Amino acid sequence: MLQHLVTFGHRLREGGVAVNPARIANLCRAIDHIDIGIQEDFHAATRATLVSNSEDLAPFERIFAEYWLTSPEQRQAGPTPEHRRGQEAAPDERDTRGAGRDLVLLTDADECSEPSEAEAMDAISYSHHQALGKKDLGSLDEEEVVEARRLIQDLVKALMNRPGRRHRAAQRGNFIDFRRSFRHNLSQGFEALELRYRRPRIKKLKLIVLCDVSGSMARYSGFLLDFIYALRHELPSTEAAVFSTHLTPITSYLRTRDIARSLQQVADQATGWGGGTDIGRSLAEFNSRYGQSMLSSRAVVVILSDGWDRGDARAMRTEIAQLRRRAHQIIWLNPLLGGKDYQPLCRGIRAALPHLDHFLPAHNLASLADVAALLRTA
Amino acid sequence: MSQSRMPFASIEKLTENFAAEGYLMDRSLATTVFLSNALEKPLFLEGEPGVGKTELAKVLAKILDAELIRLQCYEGLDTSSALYEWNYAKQMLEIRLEEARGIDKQQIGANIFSKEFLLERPLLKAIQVAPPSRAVLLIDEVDRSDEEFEAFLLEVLSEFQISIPEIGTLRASQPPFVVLTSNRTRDLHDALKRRCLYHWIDYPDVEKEIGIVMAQVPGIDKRLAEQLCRFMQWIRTCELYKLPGVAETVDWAKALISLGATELDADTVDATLGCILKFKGDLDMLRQADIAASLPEALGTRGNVAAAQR
Repeated sequence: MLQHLVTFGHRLREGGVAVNPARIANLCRAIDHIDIGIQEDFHAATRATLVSNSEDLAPFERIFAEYWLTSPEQRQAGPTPEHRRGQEAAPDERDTRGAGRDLVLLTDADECSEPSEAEAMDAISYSHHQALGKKDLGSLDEEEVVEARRLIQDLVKALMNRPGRRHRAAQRGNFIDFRRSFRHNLSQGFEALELRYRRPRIKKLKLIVLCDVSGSMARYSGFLLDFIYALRHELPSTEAAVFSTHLTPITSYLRTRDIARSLQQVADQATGWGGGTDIGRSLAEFNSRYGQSMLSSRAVVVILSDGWDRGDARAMRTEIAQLRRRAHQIIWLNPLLGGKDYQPLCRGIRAALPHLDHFLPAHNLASLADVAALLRTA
Repeated sequence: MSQSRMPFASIEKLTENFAAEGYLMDRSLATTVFLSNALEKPLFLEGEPGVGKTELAKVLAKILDAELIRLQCYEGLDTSSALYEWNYAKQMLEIRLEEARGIDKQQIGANIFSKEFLLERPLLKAIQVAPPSRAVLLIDEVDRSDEEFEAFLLEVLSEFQISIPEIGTLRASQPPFVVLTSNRTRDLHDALKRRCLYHWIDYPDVEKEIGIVMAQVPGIDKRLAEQLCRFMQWIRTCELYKLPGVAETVDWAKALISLGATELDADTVDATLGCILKFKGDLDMLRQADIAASLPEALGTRGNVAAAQR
């Protein structure tokens, strides 16, 4: 029986359900208490001990049925490893891991500027003329770049220095620290009452920037990378990635001082640069590969994108919901929002909206200043 | 096995006991609760709001005839709200009194940091319950707490002991039955989950929901209960911002009873929709969709189809 349980655990792990020996040990203890002849109970016991995530329920049920509900002979003759891997990558159940694997396949989605994206570009130029002298972020002169830098510093300060909900001891503050006051006065014999205080601890946040570099964003990509650069200058722990049809982490390229060269490197690295957009898939790649290490309750995820998406809106909704559950905040900066007539109508944005903390324009310097102001008061 | 665990003699017995309190559970949830008791592992319940996660802990306490100790989580929850706090006002008075009596200052210090001046917060209270009774500790909406608290919880749940510098280490003579609930607004750390038995509570199917309403709302007409639950099953297939849970169904049933309604018609639904939909956008959407037109669909066979698809 133990052998079976361990093998079953292996199968689950292959199927992407995180099962470790401690959980198997729990299961072994659990089945002492139930009648494993009753299939329903055995099923409940394995599920309660091995799964702890609603996303893992579906793969669990599938593998449970495969492993326990087929006869041993069938199991022996069952799918070979190659076979199984092939099944995993089948389109209907391609999970996040699967999506990352077939990179070669993805490049065929490169035909750029689908109708919707072309429309998007029209919308941009339109808003450009309407912007009453406010320049687009795409075209800044020397002086304005300095101004932009300053705004970005503001933005970072607004984002990073937020009073948290926890407190630390302080000489002065708004809250009396009774415990420390008592301790202190006790040693003084309560001669003259001297109070001790505490104040909110500044919550140190970590910034993760995901930048859309697809066709419809091409106009802004240059500036936005500059923006990422500046953010990293202010906050060296900032992580960055660009995406179009899939995701490319660029943090390592941003370490060098030679901006022009590393931008070129980034452009070389990022496949699908200036091509179509699949935000859902890009986010899925981010969640599965980098989510674990980068996301925490201190992580603020900034998505720079116009939201024109040719991918599956439902996939995007699931991925953004998952991102939201693991991060502190998601801020979506949208250059198109600047246009007066822009309504977040395209499917991608609509799917994402309920999960965003802020959905803000980022089409010129004034809007960046607004973003900073809003975040400071939020 | 101690007296307090007798209600959990078998999975069947457990299901019966819960049913007697008006809580219907399927076999798989019953097995998980049974194992949670047998293995002395915390029960970790996830699911949409209003599917009966908190209710389970309440019923559990009733069955075990145990005290229910509830800790509602929020961001920034700290040890002084979760664990213990000194009663400063009382300490202050005591100091004045003892000073007036001329007691030595060192002695005063020792006196005011004793158990008498300790305010027990939920976690400390739960491990202080004297045997043979055993507390049910409900840690509600743990997803709303922050990582610092989660780490702290991990420590308490694995050792069931709490150190207070001024007093020493307090250990539970009998670990409480711990139920954690989460609405999944964020994922919890794996280390915490690993210590628990997990169960995802889904919306019930129509038969079960009728059973729940009949059990929870005594005196309700079977026909009304059926209509109500069909309607709820249908409404959960709509694209709403917030789907109503079983708690809403029960509230609604009670509201209808007190209005003397015997049947679900468009006017009644319209008047009482606030019982199940709590967002203006959702209310507007349903009203725009014309309740009168969609009611037959909701109550008719299509309600069954939707339930079966679920």
